[in-house]
Amino acid sequence: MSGRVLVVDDDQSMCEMLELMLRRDSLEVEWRTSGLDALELVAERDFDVILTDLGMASLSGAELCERILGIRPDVPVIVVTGNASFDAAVASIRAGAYDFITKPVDAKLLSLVVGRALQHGQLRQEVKRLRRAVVDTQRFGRLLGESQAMKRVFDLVTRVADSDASVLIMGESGTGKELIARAVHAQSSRRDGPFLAVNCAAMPGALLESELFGHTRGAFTDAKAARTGLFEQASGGTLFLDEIGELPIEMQPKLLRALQERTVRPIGGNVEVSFDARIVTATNRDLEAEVDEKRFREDLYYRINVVRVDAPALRERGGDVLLLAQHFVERFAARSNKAVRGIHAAAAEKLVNYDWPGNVRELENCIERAVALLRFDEVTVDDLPEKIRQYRADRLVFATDDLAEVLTIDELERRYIQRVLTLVGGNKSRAADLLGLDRRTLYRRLDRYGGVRERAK
Amino acid sequence: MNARSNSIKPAPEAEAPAAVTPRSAPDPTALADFFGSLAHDLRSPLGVVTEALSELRTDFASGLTDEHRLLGTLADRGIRRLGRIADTMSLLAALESGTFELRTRPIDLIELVREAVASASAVEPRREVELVCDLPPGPLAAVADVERLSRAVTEIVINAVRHARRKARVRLELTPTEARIMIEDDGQGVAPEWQATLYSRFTARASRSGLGMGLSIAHDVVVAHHGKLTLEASTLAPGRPGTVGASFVISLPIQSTG
Repeated sequence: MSGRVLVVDDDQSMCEMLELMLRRDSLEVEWRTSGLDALELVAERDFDVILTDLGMASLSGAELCERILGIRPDVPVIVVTGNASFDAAVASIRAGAYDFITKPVDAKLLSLVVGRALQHGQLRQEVKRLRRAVVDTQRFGRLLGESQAMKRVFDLVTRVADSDASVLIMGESGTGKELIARAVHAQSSRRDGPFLAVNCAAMPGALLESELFGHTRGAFTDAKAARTGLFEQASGGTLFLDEIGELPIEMQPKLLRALQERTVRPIGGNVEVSFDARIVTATNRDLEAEVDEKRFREDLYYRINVVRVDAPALRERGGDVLLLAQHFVERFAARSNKAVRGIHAAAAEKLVNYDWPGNVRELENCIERAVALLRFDEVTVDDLPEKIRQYRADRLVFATDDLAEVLTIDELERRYIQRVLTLVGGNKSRAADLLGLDRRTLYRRLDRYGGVRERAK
Repeated sequence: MNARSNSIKPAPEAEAPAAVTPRSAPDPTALADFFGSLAHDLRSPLGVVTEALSELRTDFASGLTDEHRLLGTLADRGIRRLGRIADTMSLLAALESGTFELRTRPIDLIELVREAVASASAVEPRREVELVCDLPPGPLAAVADVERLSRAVTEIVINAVRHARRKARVRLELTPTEARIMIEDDGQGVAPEWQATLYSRFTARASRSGLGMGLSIAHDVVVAHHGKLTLEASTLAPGRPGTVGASFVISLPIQSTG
């Protein structure tokens, strides 16, 4: 652990004992035996956590707690009380305490409670910082992000924007592929030209063909007038073909030809029309696998995949979760005319821990719902959907760029065992074989990790 | 399985405590006896802990780190404080039952005060408070119960340190008829509403920690020595603007040896 802790107790022995315990957790510790001295210190220096006795001579703990929070509303205060009564607990929580522990103080419990308070405080600071960051961050088009993963995207987009190279954007649903396509357009010299987007999955082949290439008058029954295709309309700008992996196989050679020749022939026409549009495509499918399965033409794949941009999943974006959450809070609060301060630390913790299979879109929906349900001036845990409140992180993160995502070896092992057990449908002999453990060792680990066995059933 | 399922289960009513019949209040002598035995029972395990700690210290003397030594100091302090509680209980038992007697002998009063002050700072130190002991060179011959009088001074000094802001001071003044031991602090003083019950026992003091037994015992011990304990205004510079600290004065009659 790291952090600076202030201990306040009119019993110096208690101060010294707590100092000794906390230093063993590598924390920096200051102590004062008077509430008034503690207040002066709090006014001039930052502390990450404050521990205070409840019944002191000069200034009661509850009074001190209130006055500390008056000066530093963000510091978690833990009340240490000699009285394990419900009334004492209520009094401290009413005074704004984050938590309380009773004397005699157990070293392990102290470590746990202080650790949790530190994390809470850090999240609270982080949420605050993000509120400023949302305003200050240099926007990349409508893309928002500070994570290494997103910085790589911004960097790549900046470098390819000015060429006319075809860009293929790959990523899970909800990762903002269209926003990346728009950013490519906005960063390019074509930014004053049109940006046209078409979803290849949204219409049948024939209709898509007419949309893309256009048609002459009378080309087919309903073609009462000639229509210019999107390739031509996008001239001087960018044409974005979303869900390219869904492009019907019979359309693929036609698209390939258009991209090679840089001309299109409208349906029913006999003249080739040249176009000058930059082509950006996107898909959430694994296109290489589609090529292997002969569902996607290899030559077309190489034609569209001159530069490939991977849109990172939200769970790979570390702190961006809170940055985006804050951004959405502000957007939806403004839209619904609510005064929302931000996200409560406990709720922030839930958001950070969740794995976001639906990515940014899921986060956006979650925050929209939370703001709609909001009862206080902050998004709290209760405003989040059940599955996010109940979620327990079992994600395996080996190659992380984010310090906040670093796991302990134990936790990594727990999650790995969990993952393998899930893969083999809970068959422990098989799991033990795969893991290179004997059955008994596996059982011992499962016992140690408690929850794993339950979840693997 | 069936044969083994006759496990003992608590009856539902066992979850709530059974009603305890209230007893009539014991007579003061029995109560005093009780406190006396309690103090005695407390002292013997305390003696064991003290001895055990001292043995540990001797055995591991060479390998002790600073942290170990601090732990030792904290344990010592804890033991001394428990000892004080035991003393308080037996004194209380004697005072309440009327069996209190002084065991007087000729002593050096200056030395007694000096040791009492040292004991106070060993038991309940406060880093932020400077405890000054400003005594004339001794000796000052007197006849007193060393243990009890020393205890009275210690209690008042501990009280002063606890309520001081930055400084507490112990002085001794001689008049032709009295020795005046003055224990001052630069705290907020005693609120007028508390002054009347300052030396009474078993009165709750809302904003104070502890039982507040120290001053009442000190008072009785001083009175038993034909002296008096009075509250005056501190002459120390105030710890906070607009406040005047407390000065507890023990006045003991002295016989001029001329």
